[in-house]
This record gives sequence, structure tokens and C-alpha cells, in this order.
Amino acid sequence: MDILAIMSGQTFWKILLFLHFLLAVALLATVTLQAVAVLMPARQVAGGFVDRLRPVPPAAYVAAIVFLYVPTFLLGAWVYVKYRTYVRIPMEQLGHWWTVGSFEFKEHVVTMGMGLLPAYWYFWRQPLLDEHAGTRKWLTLFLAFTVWYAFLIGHIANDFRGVGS
Amino acid sequence: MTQLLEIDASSRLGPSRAVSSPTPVARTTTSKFGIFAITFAVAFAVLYTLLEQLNWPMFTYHPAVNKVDFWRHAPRSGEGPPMYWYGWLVNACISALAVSAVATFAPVHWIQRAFVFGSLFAGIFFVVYMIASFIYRGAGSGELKYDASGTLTYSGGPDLLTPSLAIALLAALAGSYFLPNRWAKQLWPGWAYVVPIPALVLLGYSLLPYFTR
Repeated sequence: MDILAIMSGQTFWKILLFLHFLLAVALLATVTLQAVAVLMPARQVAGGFVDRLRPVPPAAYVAAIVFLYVPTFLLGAWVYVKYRTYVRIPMEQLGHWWTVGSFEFKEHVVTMGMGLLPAYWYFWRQPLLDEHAGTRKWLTLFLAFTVWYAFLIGHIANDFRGVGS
Repeated sequence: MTQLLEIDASSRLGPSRAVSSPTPVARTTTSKFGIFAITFAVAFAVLYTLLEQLNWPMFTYHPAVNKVDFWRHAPRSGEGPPMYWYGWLVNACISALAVSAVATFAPVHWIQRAFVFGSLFAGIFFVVYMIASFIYRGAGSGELKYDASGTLTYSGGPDLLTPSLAIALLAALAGSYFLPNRWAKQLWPGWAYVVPIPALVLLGYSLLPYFTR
């Protein structure tokens, strides 16, 4: 069945972009919680807002991060087709070069994140080795950077021409 | 192939321990999957960067006309902008999978040494080439630069590239040969997150024209 017989092409791409956004928000939340847990390991359960986030073991987030990162990446790669023709061309015509450059960098950043996922998965597998704690921390922070960067730049591009813009 | 890693289960519960190790374990091994995963992270970062810089995609996608061409194709009139990213991605993925699969059959200490060699080679080449470029600047020497299509090319003039590569090769061979085994072993897991950083720096640097218009 042709999906475009039910809805317009524009609506279809906006739904895809919105799904990409929803997955990205979930991924951002999960990777941020893990990064906080890795940077500030819990010593006591009670305390302020940040302290209450910390008691969750960082390893508990790993499967969620991997299973959110991959579909978010794939959906982003799909939506990227529309970005290239429908968003980037007017961006260039209007001279938004910083946004174009930042978005180009985003494609490299998320790709590097994808390449790291098997290693990230491996180092967070149980049983966790104490001597790899540093590697786990830096892999988590690197992934958190890729997700935050992609989210912020994606948001800027969406504001230029996307859902609700 | 496997390598025993001791853990002091009675070690004091420090911050990193609290973060990382809820289950005390006496010992474990570096599995084939571990070798594959670390090698893949490194190989993918290096290959993706090289393929992007050389602009070698497996295919070119023309989104405006929904058409795919094998390898690299310049934009054609009336067909909109070409997309190479998918082609680099697939190329890098297949190549990195092949490298990682081969690595799982090699002794782990060979892979560890190979990573040390590769990193020394890239680092020394960069430093030597930068110094040579600085010394010979203005003397009409050749240089690595991006052409109009964004592909990394070496322009004509006195060749700084070959001597820099030769020096880097010799120094990296010596360095990786004399490096103690335990250092190579200690460095090994870290390459997974270290190598993508300079790769991103290089990729970001090639985008500089967007930010300087």
C-alpha cells in the first residue's frame, strides 16, 4: 500500500521527523542520566534532585541507549534525504552557512557514535571489570556528546524548516 | 588469543568501583567479541575519515530523482544535489567489519601493537608534516588541501609528503617495537574512544569553509 495515497508527502516527512525527535528525546534523557551516574556515582540514596538520579546503576541504561541510538540514527538517515533537498538548499540560498556546516558535522558526529556502539556494549557487559571503569566512563561521555550535539543542531535545523517552524 | 585479567576483588570501594562494578568477579578473559568491538571502533573511525576525506563513497544517491549510482558521481544538471554520506557509511562499515573479523583471528598482542603503530604513525606524520610545512612555507612547496569538490588532494611543488611519511613510518616502527607489552595492553581499550576524537577534529577542520564564508 502506498502511504502517500493516505497522506501528503509533506505530512509523511513531518511524521517521520517527529518520530525521530521523540526517539532523540528519549535517547537524550537516557544517555544524560547515565552520564550523570558515571560522573557522580551515588554514595547515599537521599538528597537533592541530582542525588536522587544517581542511585540507578549506570549499567542499567546500556541496553536502552543502544536500542534507542540505532533507530534514532536510522530514522535520522532517512529524514536526511528530505533535509538535503528541502531544507539545505534554502539554507544555502539564505546564507545560513554556520547551520549548514554544523549540520554537516552532525552527520560525522553521530556516525562516530554508531561506530562506538559495539565497544560501548562490550565494556558495559556484566561482569563489569574495575580496570575498564575509565574506558566505560569516556565511552559514555563520548556518546552523550554525540547525542547532545546532534539534538541541539537538529533542533536548530528544524527551527529553520521543519515541524512547527 | 585470550588473555587473563586479574581483578583484586578485595580492593577498596572507590568512586569508580561504585560506578562500575556491582558484581565482584575474580577474573575474566578478553573475548573475541571484545577484540572485534575495540577493533571495529578504531577501524570504523579511521576508515570513515579516510573515505570521507578522499571522497570515496560506495555509491552516490541523488535524492531529487531517487537514483543511485555506483561509486562517486558529480552532480548532474537537473538531478539536484548528490549525497555521498550513505556511500561513505556503507563503505566504512563493510571495511571495518572485514578488518575487525580478521582481527579476531590474530593474536591480541599483535592487534595491540598494530594500534600503537597506527597511532604513532598518524601522530608523528602530523607533527613532522606541520613542521615541514612551516619551514618551507612560501617556498612554493606542495601541500595537502581540499579541492573545489571538497576532496583532499596534494598540490604540486616540492614534495613534503613523502619524507614526512617515511619519517613517521620509521619512528612508528621503532616506537611500536620497543614499547613494553604491558603498556600496549594498558592502552588497548582506550583506543576505542581516543581514535574517534582526532578523526572528528579532522572531519570538522575540513568543514571550516562553511564557518569562514
